[in-house]
Amino acid sequence: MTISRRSFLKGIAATSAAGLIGPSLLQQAVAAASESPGQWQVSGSHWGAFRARVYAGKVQEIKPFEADSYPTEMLKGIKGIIYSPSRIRYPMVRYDWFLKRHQSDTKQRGDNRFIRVTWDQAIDMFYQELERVQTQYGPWALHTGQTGWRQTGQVHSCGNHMERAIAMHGYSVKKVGDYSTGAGQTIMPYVLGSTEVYAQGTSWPLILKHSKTIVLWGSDLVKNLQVGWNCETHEAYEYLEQLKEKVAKKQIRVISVDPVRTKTQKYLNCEQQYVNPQTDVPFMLGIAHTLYSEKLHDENFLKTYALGFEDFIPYVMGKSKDKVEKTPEWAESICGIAADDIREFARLLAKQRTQIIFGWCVQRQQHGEQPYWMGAVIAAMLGQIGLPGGGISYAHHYSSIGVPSTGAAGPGGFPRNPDNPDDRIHKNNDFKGYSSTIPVARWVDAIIEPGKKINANGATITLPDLKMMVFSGCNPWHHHQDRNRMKQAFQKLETVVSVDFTWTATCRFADIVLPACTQWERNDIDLYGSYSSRGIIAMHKLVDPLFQSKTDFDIFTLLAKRFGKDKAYTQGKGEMEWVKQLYDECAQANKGKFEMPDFATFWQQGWVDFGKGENWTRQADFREDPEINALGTPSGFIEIFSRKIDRYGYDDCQGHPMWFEKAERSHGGPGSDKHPIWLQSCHPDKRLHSQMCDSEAFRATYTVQGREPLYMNPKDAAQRGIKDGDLVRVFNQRGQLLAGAVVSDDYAPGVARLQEGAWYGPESEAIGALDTYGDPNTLTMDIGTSQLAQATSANTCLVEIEKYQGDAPAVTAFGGPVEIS
Amino acid sequence: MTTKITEQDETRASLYWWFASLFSQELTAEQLKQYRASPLGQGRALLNALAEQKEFNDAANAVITALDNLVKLPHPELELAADFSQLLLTDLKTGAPPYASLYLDQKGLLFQQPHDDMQALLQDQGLRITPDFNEPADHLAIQLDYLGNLILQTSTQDPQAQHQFIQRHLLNWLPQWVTRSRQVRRNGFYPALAQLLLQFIEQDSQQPQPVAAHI
Repeated sequence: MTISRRSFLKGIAATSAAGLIGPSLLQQAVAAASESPGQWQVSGSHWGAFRARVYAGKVQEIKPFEADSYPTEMLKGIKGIIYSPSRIRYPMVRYDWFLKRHQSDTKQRGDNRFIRVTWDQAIDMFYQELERVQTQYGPWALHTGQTGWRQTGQVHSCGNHMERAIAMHGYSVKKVGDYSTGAGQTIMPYVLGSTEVYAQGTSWPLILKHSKTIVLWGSDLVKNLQVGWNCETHEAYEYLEQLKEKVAKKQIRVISVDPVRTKTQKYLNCEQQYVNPQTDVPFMLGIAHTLYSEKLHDENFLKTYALGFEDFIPYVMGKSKDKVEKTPEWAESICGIAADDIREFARLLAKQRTQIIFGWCVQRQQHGEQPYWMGAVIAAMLGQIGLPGGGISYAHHYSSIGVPSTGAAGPGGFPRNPDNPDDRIHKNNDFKGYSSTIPVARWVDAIIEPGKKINANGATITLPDLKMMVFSGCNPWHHHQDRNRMKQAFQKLETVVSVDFTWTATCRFADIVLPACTQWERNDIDLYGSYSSRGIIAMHKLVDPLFQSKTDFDIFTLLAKRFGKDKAYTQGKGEMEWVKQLYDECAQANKGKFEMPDFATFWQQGWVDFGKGENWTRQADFREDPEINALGTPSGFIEIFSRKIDRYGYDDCQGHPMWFEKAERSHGGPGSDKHPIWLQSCHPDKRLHSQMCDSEAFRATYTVQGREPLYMNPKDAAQRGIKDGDLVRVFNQRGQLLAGAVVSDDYAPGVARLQEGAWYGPESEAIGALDTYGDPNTLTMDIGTSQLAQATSANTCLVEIEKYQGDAPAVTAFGGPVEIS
Repeated sequence: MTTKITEQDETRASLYWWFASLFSQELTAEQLKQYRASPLGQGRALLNALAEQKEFNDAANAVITALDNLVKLPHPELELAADFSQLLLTDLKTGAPPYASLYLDQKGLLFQQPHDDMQALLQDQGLRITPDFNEPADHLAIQLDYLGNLILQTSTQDPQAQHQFIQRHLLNWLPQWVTRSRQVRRNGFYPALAQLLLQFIEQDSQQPQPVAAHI
């Protein structure tokens, strides 16, 4: 029998459903004017400027900006950010927190049970919590200081918005330092007088002209120059191209000191000096021993420009309290480089003009202050600091440092602080004996051990008893170490607020989640070239904020309105008024030096070009006259020995650079009997930290079986029965994760890499749960570098790797794509 | 020209709108009362009526069972709201977002071709999505809302248009979405409702071949 048409509706009348139907989701449209095939708009990003074709309310196509000759392929990931299935679409509140507020069951954090609320409800709750924490506890219980790589744009810079709005309500705990360069930026002011890591370096044209040898010490320029703090220009690649030619013609010798064959090494086709992981300092001490023993060091330079060489050299020569002579033979046993090769290396450095270029990896390990300090000592011994193409730099891989700067002023930013410091609802500034500023990476310690006193950079820090945290455009569930310890810590927090555009793990572990829009859903302005000051770029809004998302500006204006400060917060100005104001102020600052068109013209043209800058040599002025152009160190000279640090009395960072054994070290070091492989977690090649990991199609270009690639040596793989493309479990005493093996002899035996920024996707909220995607910070150690910087020690990490057996759990880090089993 | 609308088509349209409402907005405590086992519960009456049809017996009863389990909890409407969020408002890690693009486009992104196709249909009909519901055009609820309108517009004149819409815009991804929703843990009501919707659409699309096909 065939069923007659729609007999299944028998007995159901339309009226039975009528009362249950909500409002219509559709309405009559006003007839739209016929659209052109779209318009090419200009915008910027950490990945560079681009033009986007917008049609029918959608970003259709993206092409690199015409002034960018070396665009990164990561531009292909931009659309995947805007239209990511991981977008936060509505304000959400964790279910149990919605019910019980600060008395919620915090063990449920991370279980993904949220309730949708309206913006009004969400902002009310946010405000009520701030109010409760300020009145019930005080400013010591609130930490709003964690900030990260915000989306670009000077008006909407999310950290500024969060900090200004919160500050207008009351005081809170702040941080010092950052996760990238914590040890470097703390030690270098003692040694060379500035952070060095964020300082302009000698211009590439001078390096190309004068250097005979370039040492890349753990620095992967080609990989890291793809991204910049502001809108990146990629101008540095022009010089790398010239360097490649000079290497080919044997005009410049480039040596990459690294346990891994880097992208830069392969691009330049240059040499590698392998060194055992974390043993750069013994290698450098062996070099110093050779320079001194063979009288290759520049005594005059040391006498004129440096202090404390005589306090340091006895340590090298075995005349100080440890009585160990730091001979190349001694170094060989630790760093794995033959003693004669160490000598040859030292002689090469001294032979002719040598530029030493450090990356940031070596300071992101326990005692990370030491290799930076020791590098400066070697450079001082070579006596070339302040010469073009000589000396040492610590950031030629960052934001096109080394590209000659025009010296033009860039646009300012939306103010980070209240216009009047007293303009706060809660004026209570009593931190009850707790420190109001803590080292950036020690906040998890604070949650776990409040009241504990720690040393940091000459001060005693009393870790505050944090109850509430607010994050905006910041994903510590990517950049902080030791996930399982973080899970434990988060169970002690009463309230966590996260403002973001995508469901990061930080949002999953938060109580109130507020959807910001992406930077391409708002108008803004940015500097083109952080250090080169190449120009000013317009950031045209490409599409309206998707779903219920809002700009950071709007979100925090709403919050400020709850306590009557919205007018003070915005200064009565809207988005475009701010964009124009920053532009006009910038034009004023450049008056007489760089002519800038009026705002309307600029906005229409999309950018202002300041042209190319002029060559410059770092520390040349100091070399010319060390009295007048003294360094910013306590003495004004290069401090090989620091009295100030010596007086702190730290055992793990003393008066001069030293070798300290690590808590964990591969190649025969502590812990290597149990977990023999060193895991490095360097900056990714195809992301900006964790940004763009949620861009589905682009991520698929590098994942292995949908997992983050784990790079390892063929011998290590063979010993474990692992083949290229296999799923592997990587583990140690702190955690476990799944990743996809990439077997390559770019990696030395005992060396493995998982790039940081891989999104955390635990199987469940339980402590110890397997991470299904491959976030290296599931495995890393959460300890300070030393009592000086208390910075992150992410690169001090040993693991074991095994082939994964059985059915692998699905990846839970992202929103897609759909895999129906 | 006025289109003659059959009673059956009014019922069909109403049911699609009913599903659209359930998949676009959480139920308030007041609305949830309609679904409790009480003589006044219109929602329960509707579910019971569906359960009496052999085609929907299992699926409708699964929805009823989920509701009965739910109302035993201390905060049923909040439990339901959390279920709604988990399944429909977060992402594919957590749930089963109701967008055709996610299931049909290889890139796994929102706002892809299925969205553009729906957008074009709406535009042709002089329709737009209400600003309060700022969702992409390939959101399930928008498709269902549109289908309800299409049924009334074309009722007896052009039923083939409805059939085509169901085939081209709904049945091409709904089975995947329903499978996905079943994998979401700790969620009873909405996956059951998704199954009921699928069965309803499948039945509804089994209409006689158009005359032309018999020639």
